[in-house]
Amino acid sequence: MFDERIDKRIKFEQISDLVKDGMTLAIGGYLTANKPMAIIRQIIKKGIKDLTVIAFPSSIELDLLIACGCVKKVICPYVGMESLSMIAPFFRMKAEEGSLEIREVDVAMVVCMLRAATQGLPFLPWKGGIGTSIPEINPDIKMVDDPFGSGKLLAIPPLSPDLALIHAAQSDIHGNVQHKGKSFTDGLLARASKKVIVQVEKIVSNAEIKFNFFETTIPAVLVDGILLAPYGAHPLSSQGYYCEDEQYIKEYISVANKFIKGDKKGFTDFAQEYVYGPSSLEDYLETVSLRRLLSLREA
Amino acid sequence: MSVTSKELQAVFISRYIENGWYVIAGIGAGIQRAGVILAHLTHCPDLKIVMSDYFVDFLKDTEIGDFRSYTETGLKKNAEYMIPPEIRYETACRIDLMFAGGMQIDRFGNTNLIGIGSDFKKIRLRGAGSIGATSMTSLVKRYIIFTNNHNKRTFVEKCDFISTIGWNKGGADAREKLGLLGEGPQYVITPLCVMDFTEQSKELRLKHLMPNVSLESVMENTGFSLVIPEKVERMPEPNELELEVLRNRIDPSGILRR
Repeated sequence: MFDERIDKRIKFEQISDLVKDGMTLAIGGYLTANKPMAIIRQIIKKGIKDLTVIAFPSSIELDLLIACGCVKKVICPYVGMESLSMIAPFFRMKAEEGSLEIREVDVAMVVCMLRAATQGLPFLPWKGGIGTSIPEINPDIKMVDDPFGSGKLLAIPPLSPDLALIHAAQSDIHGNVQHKGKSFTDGLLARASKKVIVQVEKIVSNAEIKFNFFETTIPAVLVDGILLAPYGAHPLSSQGYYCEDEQYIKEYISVANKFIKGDKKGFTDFAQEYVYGPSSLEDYLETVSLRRLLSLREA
Repeated sequence: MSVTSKELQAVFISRYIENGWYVIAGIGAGIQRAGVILAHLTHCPDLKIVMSDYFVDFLKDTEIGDFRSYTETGLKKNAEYMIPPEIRYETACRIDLMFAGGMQIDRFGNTNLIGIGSDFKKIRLRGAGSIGATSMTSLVKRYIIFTNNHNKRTFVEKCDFISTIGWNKGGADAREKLGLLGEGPQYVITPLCVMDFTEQSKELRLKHLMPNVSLESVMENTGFSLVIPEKVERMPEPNELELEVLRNRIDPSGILRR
C-alpha cells in the first residue's frame, strides 16, 4: 500500500549535503525581515566557498556570508541595514578591495531574471535602466532593439538558482508553506529555483493547512525540504512572530566597522560567540538569551 | 519655536501633491514621509500612499508613528492592501510621485547610488545600490530628488556612474529619445535649497532658498554652474493648519525640529 505522503523534514546537519561550493543560492526575505539566518550560520560553519548569491534587498545575512568568505559573486539590488547602516560593512569593504564580483541590478531586474527562468525564456525585455550605467557595468545585461520599433531595451537573462533558502511562518511536513504577513518575493524565488529549502517557525498539521489553504504561499510541489527553526530568523525579524534585534544589529555594525579599520578582535569574538561557537540552533538561542528573545515578540 | 528647514521641505512636498495621487513615500526618510502624510491630512484625503509594501491610510489617526524601517510591523494597522515588490512594477506607470536619492547628482538630474570611482570592479567608494529606483524612475509619472547633502562632492558636473537617469545630457526631449516614460525629475530638494529644471535645456535651476542660506553658499557648494533665475524666492511658509498637523500628529517626537 502506498498511502503515506512524503515527509520533507530535514535536519540542520543535512544543509552541508545540500549546499556545495560554487552553487548559486537564492536567499528569501527582504531587507531585515524573514531571512533564513539559522541556515546561513550553518553554511558559514561548514566553510562553504565561492557561492553566487541572488537576493532581493539584503542585510546582515548576506554581509555575514561575505565576511566569512563564503561568497564569490553577488546579484543583489541593495546590501545594508537601512537607517542603522546605509551600506553593509563587509559588502562595502570587499567591493572597494575589488575582491567581490558584483552584478549591478535593481529589484525589477532581479524579478526579470527569475521570471525569465520560470518561463524558460532566453531573456525578458525591460525598460528600466536604459541610459544608466547598468548595461555597461553588468556584463550579463545586453541592449537589444525592440522588434516593434520603439527603440532600445534591456535584455535581462534568466537565472535559475540551484537552491532557494527561505524563512516562513509555518508548513506541514509535506512542504505546504504559509507566511504570516508579508511573503515578499519568496514565491517567485521558489518558482525559479531548482531546489527549495524552507525553515519555519512552526510545523503544523496538514489539516491546519487545509483549513486555511488560501494562505499557502509556497505549495508542496516546489518544496524539497522543511527545517524546523523557531526564532531561526534572529537577529532579523520574522513576520507574525518577532521584530529585528536592533541592539544585536548595531553591535554587528560596530564590530564590523572596527574590523575593517584593523581592530579585528571584536568581530572575531562576535563570530565565535554567535556563529562558530553554538553547536545547534538551541545553543545559539541560549547564547542570545530567552529574555532577549521574548523582548522581541511582535506586539 | 521657529519653523525649521526640514519642516519647510515637508510643507513644500505637501503642497506639490494633489488629491487622488498615487504616491510612494520613502520609509526611512523622515522629511518625504512627513510631506506626503501632511498632504494626506490637510488637502488630499484620497491620497493613495504606499509605504513599505502596504497601501496605507492615516486620515483618522491622531498620532502617526515614526516608521523607521521597511519591515516595520506598526504600519499594519494602517494597511489596506499588500503590494509585493514584484507586483509593484506592474502598477508603476500609475504612480504620480516618488522620491529618489543620490550620492552624486549632476546638472541634468542624473543620479548615482552605485559608487564613486573610475573602476567599477574596484570601486573607490561603494554605494548602497539603487534598490528599486533605476526602474521605478523610468516608469513613474514624476519624481523628486532628495538629498541631505549639498556640497561639491554630491553636486557634480558628471556622475561617475548613473543609476537613475534624469534628463540624460539635457533637453526637453531627452527622456522621450531614450523611450523612457513619465515626466522625469521635477525638483531637487537639499538642506540649502529647492531646485527645479529649466523648460528647454532641463538644467538645474535654483528656485527657493532655505532660511539663513545665501545665494553665494548655494553656488559655492554646487560643482557646476547652476541656473539662477532673476528672482530667487525664500521657501514658502506653512500656514497654521499645516504647522499644527505637522507638529502634533505627524512629528510629535520632533525629528524635523532637530
